[in-house]
Amino acid sequence: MIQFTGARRFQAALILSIVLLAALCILHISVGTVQLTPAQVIASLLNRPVEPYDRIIVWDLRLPRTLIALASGAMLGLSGAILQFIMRNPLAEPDMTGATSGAVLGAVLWLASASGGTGDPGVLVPWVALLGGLVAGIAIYAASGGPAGGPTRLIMTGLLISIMLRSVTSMVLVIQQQAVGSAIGWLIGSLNGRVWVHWDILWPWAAVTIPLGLMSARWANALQLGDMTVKGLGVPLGRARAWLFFVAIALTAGAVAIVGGIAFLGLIVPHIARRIVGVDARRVFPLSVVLGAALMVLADIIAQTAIHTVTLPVGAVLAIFGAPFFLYLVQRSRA
Amino acid sequence: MTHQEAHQPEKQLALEADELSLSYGGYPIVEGLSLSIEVASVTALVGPNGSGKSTVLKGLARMLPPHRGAVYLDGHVITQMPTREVAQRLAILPQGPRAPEEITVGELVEQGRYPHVGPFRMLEKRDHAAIEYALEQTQLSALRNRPLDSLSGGERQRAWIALALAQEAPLLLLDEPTTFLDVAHQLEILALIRELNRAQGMTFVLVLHDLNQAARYADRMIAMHAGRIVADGAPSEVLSERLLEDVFHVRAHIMTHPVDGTPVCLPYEAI
Amino acid sequence: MSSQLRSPDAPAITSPAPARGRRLWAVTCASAAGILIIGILDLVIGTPRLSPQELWLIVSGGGPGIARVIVLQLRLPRFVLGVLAGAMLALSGALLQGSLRNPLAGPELLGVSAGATVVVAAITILHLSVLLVLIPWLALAGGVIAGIAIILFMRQRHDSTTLLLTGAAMSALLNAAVIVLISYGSQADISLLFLFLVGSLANRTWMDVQLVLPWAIVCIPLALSFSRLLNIMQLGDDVARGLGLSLERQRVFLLLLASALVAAVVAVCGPISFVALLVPQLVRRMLRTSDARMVLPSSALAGALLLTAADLLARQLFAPQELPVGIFTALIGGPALIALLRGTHYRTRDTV
Repeated sequence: MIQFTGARRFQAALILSIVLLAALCILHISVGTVQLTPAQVIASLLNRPVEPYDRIIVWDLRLPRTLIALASGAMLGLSGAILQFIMRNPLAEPDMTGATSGAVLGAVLWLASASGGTGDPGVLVPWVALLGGLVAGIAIYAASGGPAGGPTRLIMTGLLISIMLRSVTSMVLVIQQQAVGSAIGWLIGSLNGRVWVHWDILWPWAAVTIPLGLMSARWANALQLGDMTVKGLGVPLGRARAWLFFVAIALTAGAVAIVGGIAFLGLIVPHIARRIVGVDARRVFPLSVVLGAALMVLADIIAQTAIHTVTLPVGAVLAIFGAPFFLYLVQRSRA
Repeated sequence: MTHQEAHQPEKQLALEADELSLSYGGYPIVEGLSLSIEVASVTALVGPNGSGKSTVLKGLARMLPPHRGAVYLDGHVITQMPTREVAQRLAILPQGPRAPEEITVGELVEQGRYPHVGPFRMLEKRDHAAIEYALEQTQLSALRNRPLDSLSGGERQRAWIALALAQEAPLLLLDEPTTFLDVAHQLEILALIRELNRAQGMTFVLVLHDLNQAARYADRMIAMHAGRIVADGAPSEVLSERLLEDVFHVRAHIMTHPVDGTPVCLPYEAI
Repeated sequence: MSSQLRSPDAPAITSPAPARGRRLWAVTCASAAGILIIGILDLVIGTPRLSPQELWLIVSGGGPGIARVIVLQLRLPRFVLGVLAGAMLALSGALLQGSLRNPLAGPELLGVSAGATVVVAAITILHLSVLLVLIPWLALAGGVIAGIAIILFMRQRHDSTTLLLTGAAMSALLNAAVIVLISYGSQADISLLFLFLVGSLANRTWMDVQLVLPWAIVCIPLALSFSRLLNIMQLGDDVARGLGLSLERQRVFLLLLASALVAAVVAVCGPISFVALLVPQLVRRMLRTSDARMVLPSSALAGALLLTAADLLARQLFAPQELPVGIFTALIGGPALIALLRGTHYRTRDTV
């Protein structure tokens, strides 16, 4: 009986979230310097006859931004959920894997070296950032002792290495000051200027990593138990943890490579998901995907509309709302 | 020695709880509990897990402020007394205490002088004398420079008791002092407690898991169940088949110990 | 005596006490000597390079004008600042690690550094006209607010990991604030700020020393006097309270003190990372004790030594190009700390 209600609840939550997401996307597309009505947006999307100007705005400018917000939010939400499961700590978040700082450093390094150089740095930056994030994540895993390390060491190593990477990033910006302007968007996370080119890089990555993450839910469930219990169940403890960690890194690095160092989303979303559907990863993961997407889109809507003529970086909005939420979370958690 | 308040001259009370209500982590554990501890007695608090015995001990030691009722130490409300003054009259040894890795026995026991010397005053002759005394009573004088973690479980627990003794407090509360020790060390600690009570007149309140140990080494047993006192008296009165059934959910046979005549319970079936 | 207590099964081995005393002496002398040597090197090395005789000449009052200025107005204050900052940072780490009983409690991981940094960053970028003398006070306020928030929220949970993650999140928030601030600044301000964010001792003068000195004079002895309290805190919350310690109050005070030590340094040099975290760990390992009466003063000395040595390296390694010392402490201190902690066995709930 209880299970039945749980499944029902999950389905309801999932459907509602998807509907919410769709609505937010429409809203997101309609928001901007040229305000469109949802009707116009939907019409453009469905290729109904509209003002040609409207179509261009929707298809060339707004839609890519919305899609990128959606995908990156989904990836970060899932990454956060995975990390909270394998770290056995509800306060874990993607930033702590070093993938974020590594990706940001990669982006900054590239911008610093390419600024003033030839070629379009905008296209290559995501690849370098991706590489940076992956390398950082792998380094952290190795430095924390690999499979023998365990969650606690992983967290501590991650935190320490993140500090190091941030120092190096600041250093790079000291040396190459011209890069600062373009780097800011990467440091805090922004959707400005994200167009179809970026989506082309993001969507294959998302299409691979998100399903991988979703499939690993059963292992994530097992890892919630003590080490010995896990082994006793026949789950390859070290490998399972490593696999999930790498999937989380891949998700994070991919998202950050396109939108920059977003914080707090990976922390908040899994919490909300868990509140709604409980502690089963097979439910938390998919819900985190949808909620993550929704939250990112919502944050970007706020980023564009909060202050009249200025678009805030979406990372700033997430930080402003994320931090108090986080503090509230810590307050509520029990020993 | 039976606990018969009505028939004996009024004994001095070391500690008294009056309509005490305690919560832990937001959950109410104990409501309206009253008890009094006489000077120079050894009292054992027993009960199943979750009965609230550790909570009561913490409440008695002012670790947990009550949301109703009060605890009186030597007649004063304990939560209104300056905490250092309380520490000079009452010492507590919590469950499974931990110390930094390389600390020596002497360094540990020295900390027990804090209630008297405070954060800054240098140790004087009487402080060193108190430390010596504590080490002697626990027979650790020869081990004073050994690192704590090189000692056996029993010796380590003795060191913690020495810490409490260095406080020169006449009242000592211990939370499951024997739970993690080998059997020999358990008896060692309990014998030490009984000796200190007999020779120095110290008052002890112990939370004990083992009913037979409680029956053997304590003058008085208080059995708790779901936050309430369900039995209070001499071990021979308290330890009954009825109690074991109602509170501990086991069927047991009660007999007297062939060696020293203390009550012993032999559980044989879970209910 | 009726009870038979078991007699000790082995004869008392050589007590660690004299050995510890010897180690303390060794560490103290080595640190002091090291600081002296680094000091001399600091004054001599650079452009222009001086010979010992020239140095002696300058110290005793004479010497060519330019060299004199360089040594007495640039190199010496930089060295002195390094000594003070190193000592203060190390003590701050030692205080936090002791009071929170956590080897990774450090101002940079608890958000204290970030708190102080964001205040100084705001003052810099927004060109707030604040009296120079007040800046450390404002930085202190920032650091303390961040730290107290952490402590308040830690009331329920007591495990290390949560503490660190909370601090990390707090730092993330404050760092985001810094970045937002940056986006409002002018190009010149921004480059200045990033240099500040890495942490540097470059171009610091006697004015900067003057700013830090009163904080050092008050806070360092105050920190050292808390040795006994720190020792008792090591015994666990319950035992500490049982001994009559007002634990919450002491913790808050220690946090304040640790923040003060950090704030003054951040106000002048920026957030120099890992000194506070690493030095007390190293010292505890070398002395093989957690006794604060030994660890605190040794940490101060070792911190002074390490920071000035790092600064000398930073100055000279790629001469004539100078690196900020913060990059050194980050790149060397980080891996050192990770390596150091590799040996630690983590008592987590799962390993039973």
